[in-house]
Amino acid sequence: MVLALLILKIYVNIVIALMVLYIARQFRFTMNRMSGEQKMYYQDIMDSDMPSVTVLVPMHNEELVALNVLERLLDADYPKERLEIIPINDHSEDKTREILDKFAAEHPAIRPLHRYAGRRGKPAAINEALQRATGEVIIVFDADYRPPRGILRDIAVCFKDPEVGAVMGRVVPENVGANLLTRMLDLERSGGYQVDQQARYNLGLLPQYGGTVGGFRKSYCLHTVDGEKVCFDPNILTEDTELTIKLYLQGKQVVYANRAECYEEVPEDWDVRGRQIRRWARGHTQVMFRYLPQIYRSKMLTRRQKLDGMLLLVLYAMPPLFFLAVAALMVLFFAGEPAYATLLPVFFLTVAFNAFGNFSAFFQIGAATFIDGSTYRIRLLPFLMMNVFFNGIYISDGVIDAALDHVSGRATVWQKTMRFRKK
Amino acid sequence: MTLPPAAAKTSQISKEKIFLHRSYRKLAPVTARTLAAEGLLLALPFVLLIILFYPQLTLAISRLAYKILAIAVPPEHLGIAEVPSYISPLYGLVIPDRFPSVGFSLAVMGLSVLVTVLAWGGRQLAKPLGSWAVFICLINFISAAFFVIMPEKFPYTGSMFSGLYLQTMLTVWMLIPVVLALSLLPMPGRRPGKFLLITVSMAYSILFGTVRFAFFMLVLYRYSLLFMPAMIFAVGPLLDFIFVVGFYSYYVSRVSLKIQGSEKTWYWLY
Repeated sequence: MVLALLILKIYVNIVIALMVLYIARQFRFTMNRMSGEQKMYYQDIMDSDMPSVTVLVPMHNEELVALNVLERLLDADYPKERLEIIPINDHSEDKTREILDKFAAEHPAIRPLHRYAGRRGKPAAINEALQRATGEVIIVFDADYRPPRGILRDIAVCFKDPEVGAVMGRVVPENVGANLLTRMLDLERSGGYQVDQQARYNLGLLPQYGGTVGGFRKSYCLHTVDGEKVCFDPNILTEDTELTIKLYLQGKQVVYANRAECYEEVPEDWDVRGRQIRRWARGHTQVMFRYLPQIYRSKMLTRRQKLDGMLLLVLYAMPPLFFLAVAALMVLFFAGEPAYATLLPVFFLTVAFNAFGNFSAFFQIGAATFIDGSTYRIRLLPFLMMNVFFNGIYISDGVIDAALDHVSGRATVWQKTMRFRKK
Repeated sequence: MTLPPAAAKTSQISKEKIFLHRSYRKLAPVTARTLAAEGLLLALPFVLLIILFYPQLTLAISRLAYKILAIAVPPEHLGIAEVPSYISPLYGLVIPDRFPSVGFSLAVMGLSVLVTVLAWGGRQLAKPLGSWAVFICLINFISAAFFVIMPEKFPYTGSMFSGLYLQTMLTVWMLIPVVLALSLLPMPGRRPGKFLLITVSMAYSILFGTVRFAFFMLVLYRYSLLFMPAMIFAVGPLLDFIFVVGFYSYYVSRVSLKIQGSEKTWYWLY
């Protein structure tokens, strides 16, 4: 009994120490973004010899949004002879196919890929599209995005540097005013990009390729599996996180382009949001199981980068660790260890700092929205605390899914995020 | 603004002022020494006050809570005394212990299950609040089960809760100035304003903490010790940090409004 209680105490202390480590990291990021020296990306480079680009837009039942994204891409300020657009119709059952075929008939740059056989899901769809993609640089947009005119040039120009393996732009929600959830997601996005990604880029750590509003160099990504050239493992639900880690392990760079902003649609429904973060947590944890030891052993990464990479991969494991720590504290409480009840303020302080979901500390989100020039929107910050248990439950589900995937080797099924755009 | 005809034709708008884009701006650089000094200046006075005057503070809180509780609790059941704690002297409220009956505990277990089902299946806005409710219900369920199975093993009394609560709050009151000072460091704004914000947050926390203390003691007196774990785990320190974030966000919002249109605030990236 005494030994069991001792183990629980050690466990609680380890979780608190981990959370404090995350707080320190977020504080460093916030200070750096607010008043430190900022690293710019390659936006000032002008070149007439731009790389050939293939834009991939994975779509599964996207009739509500397909039109918008294709119109925007056709309007892009990029040399037409170097641009190819492949919308991927991934087992759609609505009018997505008709919309794509209509566009393809009118615009030769659009070469749709219709997939009705094989595995469904973004990684599998991109793998198949890469077989026919002619571009050296692959830029990916989700179907609900509205790429601005110059974004392809902004992203593609970074690939003039041969060390660059991937580029990530900034995602900005467009349906912010829909309800309280979308407003809160806007705050989270702000903290995640304006401060977190930019500071990681500034500090030479590991900014992340996010799978959309970004691109990667095809040649650094492709590898041969069973005689076929593929880029992504279809079993991993966050192909973007996997690619990020793979690139860093190869000694390549991921560039964060803060100015390359693109609007997206965020979930307007709590259930949809819950499923979305469950998928993120599952995929992220799958990557953690596969790459954590490799990051630790890597000769391509500095110590600081290794630490940042490991903290990045362990991020989604924190909510289940937190819930287990609450359970441990409960056991200690009923076992008559009141000293641990007085640890609760420290424990919940760390929770208060780390608003689960985007895992941005509240001061990081405050700083990000401040730089963004927001005023009244910042006052919604305390509402993010409402997400602690909600996100924690869904993320824990995702982490458990990933653990079961890891043990059983079962195949994963891709779950698309529902769209809310009006017809 | 009316454009000159030529500019209107060519879309060449001449502007006197162009603000830095949000991607390309930051605040004035600061040294680590300045930050450390500001942090200490903002947080240290409050922390020292708590450390030096916690016996007087807990006594004052207990007296105020006593007055509030006296409305609902007979005076012979209520007292102020030095309560068990790791730091002494710590003054708190003393009430008679009330253990739940088996029937009451079973009813709480049933109700917890019912509320969990209703809260988790709730409508849109209720979803995140519902998940919090589920957390509270889970704690109450475990506590009720404990009192059904082995009530004699419950290791606390009402007086012990009193000490536990006040110790917890003292920790909270030492953390609030530190948390706020650190959070406000990256923000522009004058130090007196930041100091005032911390003062207001502390005052609110102490007042709210006192009222909550009285309420918790009333619940323990009326409805038994069964609810003690929920008070500590679900509606305890976590609530304090929510309003700390609230005060912080209001301050940042005010500063943001104030600097709108100011060229001096923002610097170029490097």
